[in-house]
Amino acid sequence: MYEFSEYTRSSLAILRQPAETMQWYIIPLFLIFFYIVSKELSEKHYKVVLAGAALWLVDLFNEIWNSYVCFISQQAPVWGTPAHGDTSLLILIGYNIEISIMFFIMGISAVLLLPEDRKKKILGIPNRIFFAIVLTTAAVAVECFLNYANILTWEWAWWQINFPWVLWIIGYFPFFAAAFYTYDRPTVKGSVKFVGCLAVMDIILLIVGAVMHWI
Amino acid sequence: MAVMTTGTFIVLICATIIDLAICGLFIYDNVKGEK
Repeated sequence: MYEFSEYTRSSLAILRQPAETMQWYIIPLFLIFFYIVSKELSEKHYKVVLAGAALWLVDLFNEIWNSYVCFISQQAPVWGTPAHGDTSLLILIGYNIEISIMFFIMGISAVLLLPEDRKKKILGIPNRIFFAIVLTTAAVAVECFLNYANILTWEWAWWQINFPWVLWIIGYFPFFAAAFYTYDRPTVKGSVKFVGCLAVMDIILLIVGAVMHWI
Repeated sequence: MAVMTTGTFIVLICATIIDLAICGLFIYDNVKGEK
């Protein structure tokens, strides 16, 4: 049979163990996140916050299936955050609290870059698609750096620095796609519906994962 | 390197379909918006 890799064992040792990993910096970090969300809500920028939630939920979807891969294969997640990366809380095998807060802020920041006119083109490309391409490429470059720094580990042959297009298509483009799609709904109700669908999908997968011991 | 198992393969295929569906929805929305 298979066995968990060394990096995976190191992550499993701290998985949801706040008594061992929690650090003070997470409190101000959370308050910065809280400030950003409160500010947008106070200015009635509901779709901006919903776009942040959409990106966060699509990342959570990826983090859940990454965890499924780890426990079903009994070897390694597609991406892992081993213990030496120093997190305050490892929520899922490749997903820590810092990543979680980061992705919500990333969604908010990304839609603030968008021109008001969604039909405007940049270099002949619809601007939403243009920004999704640019931001995805930047995010993949950061991922490659984190992998190089050995705090984000990749242990499957097809999810490696040699194949950045896989990370590009599966790893990041859907994040910005979901955020921009949410932001561009004609009504707040439409945005809430899409974000609600993503939330329901994630909740179901979390429940299944908890029952099956896949998370 | 990890070795692919049937269960892992099924998870990856389902996940890829959902991720690509989100991308497709977004691209369709923007291309349709152009016409």
